[in-house]
Parts: sequence; C-alpha cells; structure tokens
Amino acid sequence: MDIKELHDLIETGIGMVVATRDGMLLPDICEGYGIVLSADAKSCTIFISSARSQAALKNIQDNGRVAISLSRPCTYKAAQIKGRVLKTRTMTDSEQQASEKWLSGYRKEIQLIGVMNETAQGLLRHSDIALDVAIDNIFVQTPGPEAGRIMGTE
Amino acid sequence: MSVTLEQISFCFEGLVPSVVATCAKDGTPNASYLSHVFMVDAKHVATSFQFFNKTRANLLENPYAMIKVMNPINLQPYHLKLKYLRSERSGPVFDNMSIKLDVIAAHEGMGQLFQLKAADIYEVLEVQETAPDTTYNPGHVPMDEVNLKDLELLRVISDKMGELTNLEDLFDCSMQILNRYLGWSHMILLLAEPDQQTLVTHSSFGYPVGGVGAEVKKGEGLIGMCAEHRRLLKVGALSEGLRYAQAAKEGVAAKDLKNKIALPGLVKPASQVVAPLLVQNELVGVLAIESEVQAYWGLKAKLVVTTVANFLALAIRALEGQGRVLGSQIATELPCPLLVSENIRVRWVPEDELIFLNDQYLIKNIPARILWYLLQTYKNTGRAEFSNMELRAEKSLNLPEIKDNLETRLILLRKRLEDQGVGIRLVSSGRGKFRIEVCGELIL
Repeated sequence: MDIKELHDLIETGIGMVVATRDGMLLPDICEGYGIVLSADAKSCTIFISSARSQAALKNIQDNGRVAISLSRPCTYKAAQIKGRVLKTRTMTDSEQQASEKWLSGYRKEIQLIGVMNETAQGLLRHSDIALDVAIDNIFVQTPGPEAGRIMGTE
Repeated sequence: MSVTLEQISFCFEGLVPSVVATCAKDGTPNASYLSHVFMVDAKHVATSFQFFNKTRANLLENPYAMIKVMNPINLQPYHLKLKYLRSERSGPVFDNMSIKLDVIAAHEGMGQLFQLKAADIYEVLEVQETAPDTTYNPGHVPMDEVNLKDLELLRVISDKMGELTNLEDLFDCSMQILNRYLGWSHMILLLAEPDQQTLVTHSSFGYPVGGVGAEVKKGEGLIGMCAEHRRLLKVGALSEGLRYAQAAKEGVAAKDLKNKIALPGLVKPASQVVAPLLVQNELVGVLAIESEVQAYWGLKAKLVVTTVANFLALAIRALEGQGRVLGSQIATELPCPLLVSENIRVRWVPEDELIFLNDQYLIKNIPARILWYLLQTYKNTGRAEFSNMELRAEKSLNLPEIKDNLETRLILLRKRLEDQGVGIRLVSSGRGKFRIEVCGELIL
C-alpha cells in the first residue's frame, strides 16, 4: 500500500476507530466519523464526538497519543495511522460536509457486509470535534504478508 | 458491571467486525480490527491468536485491552474493558474456536493461514454501553429474544413432540412444531448411517424440494463438520459461499447428478446453525437450521437448539426401539397417482446397489435392497403384506446385525417413493407391519 492507495481507501467509506490511552497505559476506543489526509500523508484531521468520546478526549489532553485504524469492511483492506494530536477544536463547516460524505460512503459499505438497509440508513453522525494529528507512522493492516509493515517500506 | 455479557451475546456473531485496542509499554496505543470475539462465559471473552502481531506483542507487555463489539441490528457499541489472562492451546475454548476457523478455512481453502495457534483469554473488567449509532429501532434484538419467551415454550415443544407416536410423524411434525413455536423457517433433519460416516436427509421444512435421501459425508460442509466434531456450529454472518447447501449442490453437480439427490438449501442463506443429535455420545443425526434474514444466534438460541436436538435424538431412539415407524395418516387409503395401465420400469443395479424407477434415480444401498426384495416378492408371489421382522430375518437383505436402522430406512424409502410419484408406495398396516401398493404394471 502506498499514499495513493491510502487516499483511495479513505474515499471508500471505511470503518474508523481511534485508540487512545491514559496515564496508566489503559487503552480506550472511540468512533471516528471521517478523516481528511494531507497529500503527503504527514498529517490528518479526524472527526469524533465530544459526547461519545469523553475518555478519549481526556487521554488526548493527557498525552496526545492516538492510533487510528481505517478498514474497509467488505474487503478488510486496512491501514493504521499512529501519531500525536496537535490540536483539539470544533469542526468547521467544510469538515462537517466531509464528515457527512464519509457517513454516506460508510452506509453503503456496511450494507455490503449484511447490515440491514434500515440500520445503515438510520446511522447517525455524532461528530463535532476535529483532531489535528501529526502522523508518526502509517502501518499496513490488511491481513496477509504485508500486515504490520510501515507504509512505503519494502 | 451494569450490562452483562449474556445480555449482549448477540454481539459475538461476527457480523460487524470488532476492534481491539492495546497499548505498548512505551505508551503507543494500537487499534486493530478482529474478525471474531468469542464469549467464553459470563466474565470472559477470547480472541483467536493466528498471527503474531502488534496487538499480541502489546498484550505480553501490558495486559490491559479494550474491545469494541456492536449489536448487529442497531449498531449499538459496547466497550469491554479487559485484562489478558492467558493463551490456551487446547481445551474446549480452543477446540470451539478452532472448529469455527476450520469452517472458514475449509471454505476459503486457506487451512494454513487460518491455523489457530491459541485462544487468548481475557477477563472482562467492565462492559460500557453507549447509545445506539442509528435511529433504526426494530423494537427487538435477536431472534431468540423475539421468539423464545421463557422456558415454558420449551416445555410446550417437548410436550408436542412427546405426543408423536411414530418415527415418521416425529420427523415431519417436529419440523412444523419448531416452525410454529420458534419461528424457524428452514430446517433439515439428517440421520447418521450406522457407519457414522454419512448423513442422510430424512425430513426438511421450508424448501420447495424436500431432498429426502440427500447425503452429506462426515466432514463435508457445515453439516459434515458438525457431525465430525459433534458440536453445535453456527454461522451468523455468512460470507460468500459459506453455504453448506450450495457447496453440497456444487459437489453433486461435479460428480453424477443422475445417482444423487440434491440437499435442500436456501439460495442466499444469511445465517445457519447446525446441531448434532447425540444419545450416549453416539451421533444419531444433525439438525440444520437456516434463515434468509440475518438471524442472531445468541447464547439463548444456542441453548434452545441444543435442547431441541437432544430431545429429538432421544425421541428418535425411543421410537426406533418400539418399532413404531410409519405415520398413522398414511394408513388411510390414498388415490393412486397413476393409472393402473401404466408401466413402472424398475432397474436394479446390483454392483452399485441402486434402483431407478422409470429411468429416474430413486435410492441406493439398504433401502434399495429392501425395495428390490419387496418388488420381486410382490411380482413373483402377489404378496403385498410384509413385516419388519420378516425383513430382519431375510438374509438376502444383509441388514447389519446391530442397529440396522430398518425403521428409518423404511421411512426414507416411503418418502422417496412418494416424492417420485410413479405408482409405488408403502402403507402402514399395523405395528411393525406394512404393505406395498403398486398402481401399474411392474417391469423388473
């Protein structure tokens, strides 16, 4: 997987989760509602819900470390971004649109793995917070021989 | 914990991928998707260890983890706070997990890749419930919650099945009872041959073609694997092609359709569960249930299926022992399906022990030998009345001395004749007795 493939993957309506950890190294998971990746894949902005991610926000305030797992449900093609949150802020209008676009793609994707149409169409977007992330590494996570490899390395 | 694992057992069906988060000793978190999380008991879950990866490396450094599972109906997330305890390389949890992966591996032809190294066991410290992610609220959760109100229902089912006084009624009416009280829409009942290597379809429900007589080899598809491992197997989220009926049909097509009967099955099943029928650790048969809609076989439903399978197995053995075979309803006179003047050509293939009626494959092995004996006797002597005792004593039939399963073979034969509808049928004429009726000119 290279940067272009990662951009393509993000466009498909990926499943997205964000892992954080507290000062005692206890991990936490919160849902992500879309991602905007820079062209050079050195940084990204992800969208989360303040109401549903209180532990994650506390962890981010504590240490800023995040792992963002991106996976296409119907193919298991996946990548993981690891980095540090530089800024936590309210989403802009254009980011609201980007998050809405992500939701639309995700709805289509999860129907491909058998989630009922009614459930998918009823999916809500809770995102209100944008996290600006400096990317340390991107790992290929698609099951297979490349899994675990840092993207861009042979 | 406010929510128990039992209450969210339907989240462990694998329909929606789960996620595990861990943290390395240096403080770097890690998130990874999981194909399956297994519920071990009320306080433990397990994940499969197939590949050494970052999650596993982290767990060995720092045993704390969080797994997110989701209700497959309304996508409500539940976050499980966990502590990794140990890895089991044998035992019931490992075996159950291994069988499930074997099913997938067998389908995908990727045995080595899916080879289970260990079952990683976690203690569940807390279950955190989050509001559903969707506005869709079907008003119910899994199918077992919908249809199984309480144990009273199981009692009613056992009462109804207990009222059935012969094997044939048990095979057919039990399917109707399960449909009525549990809402199971598509079912197949297969019985094990005495050699325990083959299963034969004796009854089905909900399919356009009954498929009585269709065979499944031990280890073949979900049904065959259930027979081999003698465990309930369920596939709640079927990937493309993991469909036992489809696989069996393809297998049949690849061989010789002329001498086979196709196993009934849905074209697009969304979920399947198969349970072994066991008595004293002996395999009596397999009950297969499938659904066109996503059915969520939670813990409760698995207990119901197992209980029903156990009851069916005991009932079959009990009625076999009493020699009560053909259903009372078929003792009444039925109109002949064919005109008397029509010919019925019977072709016996001794080397393969097959019988064809009017060039159509009917049945093989012992039921075929029995029919050939009945038809020869009828043709040569005009005698139509027979008894089970006589068949057991008839040396040319070469019935097994122990557990000949004569009664179930007679039912199978009767149903195949009925399906074929060419003018030969077996009719009960009293306990342990029956007669053959031939509506046409027999040409042997």
